[in-house]
Amino acid sequence: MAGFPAAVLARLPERLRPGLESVRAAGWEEIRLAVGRPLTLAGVAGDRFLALDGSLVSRSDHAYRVTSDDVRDALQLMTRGSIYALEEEFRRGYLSLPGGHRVGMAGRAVLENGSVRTIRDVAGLNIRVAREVRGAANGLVPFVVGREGVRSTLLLAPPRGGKTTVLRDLVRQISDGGWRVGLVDERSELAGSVEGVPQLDVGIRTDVLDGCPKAEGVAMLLRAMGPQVVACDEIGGEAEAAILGDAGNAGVRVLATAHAAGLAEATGRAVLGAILRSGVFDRVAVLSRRRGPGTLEEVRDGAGTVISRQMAG
Amino acid sequence: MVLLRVVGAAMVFLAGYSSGRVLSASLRRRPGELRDLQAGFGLLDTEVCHGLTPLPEALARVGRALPAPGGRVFGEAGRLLESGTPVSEAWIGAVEAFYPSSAWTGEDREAVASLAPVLGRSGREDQHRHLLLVRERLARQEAEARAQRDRYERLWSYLGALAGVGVVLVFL
Repeated sequence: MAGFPAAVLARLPERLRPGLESVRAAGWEEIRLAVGRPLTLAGVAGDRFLALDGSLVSRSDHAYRVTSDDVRDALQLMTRGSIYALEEEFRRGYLSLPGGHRVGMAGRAVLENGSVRTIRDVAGLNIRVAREVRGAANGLVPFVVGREGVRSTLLLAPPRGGKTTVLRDLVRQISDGGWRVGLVDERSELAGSVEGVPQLDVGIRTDVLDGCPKAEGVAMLLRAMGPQVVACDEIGGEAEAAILGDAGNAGVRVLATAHAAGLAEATGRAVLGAILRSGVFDRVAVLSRRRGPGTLEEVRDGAGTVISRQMAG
Repeated sequence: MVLLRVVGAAMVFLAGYSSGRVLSASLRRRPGELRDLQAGFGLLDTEVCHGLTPLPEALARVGRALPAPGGRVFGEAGRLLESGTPVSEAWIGAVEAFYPSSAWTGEDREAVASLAPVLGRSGREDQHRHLLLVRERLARQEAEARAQRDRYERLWSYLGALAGVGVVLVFL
């Protein structure tokens, strides 16, 4: 079984690499580095600590303690020594690595006019390993693609529920199936673009706007690229709601995801509820981690009627 | 016999004169090298603060645009960085590698090396400030280097020539 992706290992300090290289990466989703705390792997089956020789331990005092040098060197490798070029990323609190891997940062926030300007003294890094799972959307595709074309679909799932993985595969299958898809990849997680070129397979007819705010990005794609389908991850803002409504009215189909454990929770949110009631979406699919991230729990139509439901257990 | 003496005397004189020139060479080269360095940091400032070019590329570009030894320092630092060396080590390593072939004084080297702990490690405005400071410092040292050159360059040449004449007289 393969280890962690080279794009991730190459951005960690050399002293940590041998241990991580000997770990089978399957099942692990995150590598956590926090100053003074044990080197931690988090995955489907919970957390384990890692010793430098690559052995996984459950007692934290047997694990390797992350030093401030480790975090500093890792950050330098991740930013290529160019923090100045990543001001926007530092303001948002995460970086994207080539291959769609995402690095969250913890540290001291520097404020300007009451909003976060940057993070200084970064003391913790949380590396989320992106996984491209071809076929992750197989169960969903029959509900989304029908005789009348692609149906606008909202994917709901709790955090780490596999939304991004399923959306990526859905986009790939729809794009390869003959539709022009415009993808707004604000966090570079869907396509994992490096210098604008997608590193993950998002389909042959997909135009990717990398690192672009979703509302603006959707508007730009609609104006410039003539998509039949637009897709973006994690909607929830009012500007996004408005532009997705516009897209729907213009006959463009919308694929999107949002944080929510189920339809009831989503409807209860102000903006998300308004989007759902506006009728933009013809399908709402709920995912969970029950049988691994991306488990399809239920599919409803735009009116909320259940079309398909997996029996629990 | 006389001809041989004249040729020998001329050779001794020339040797003295050119050793004076050699001794004054670093005096002559230093202002230009300091000016190159300032231009280099100016370019780096543009790459970093306006182009937002990643540091390895930014350094490599400056390295290509600048004559040696300044250009070599930037180029080498960029190469070390690309191969995974931490920024501060890469910068110090590059400075130390090319300092011996330069006309810089210890003070000049220190001004250049002072960037090691800060290069790339903060936001744009902060980087701009650091780069500006180094350029100002180098500009002051360049002015001083010019004054020194004007004062001592001819002195060294004359001393060399005089030494040559002196030796010739002793042997005659």
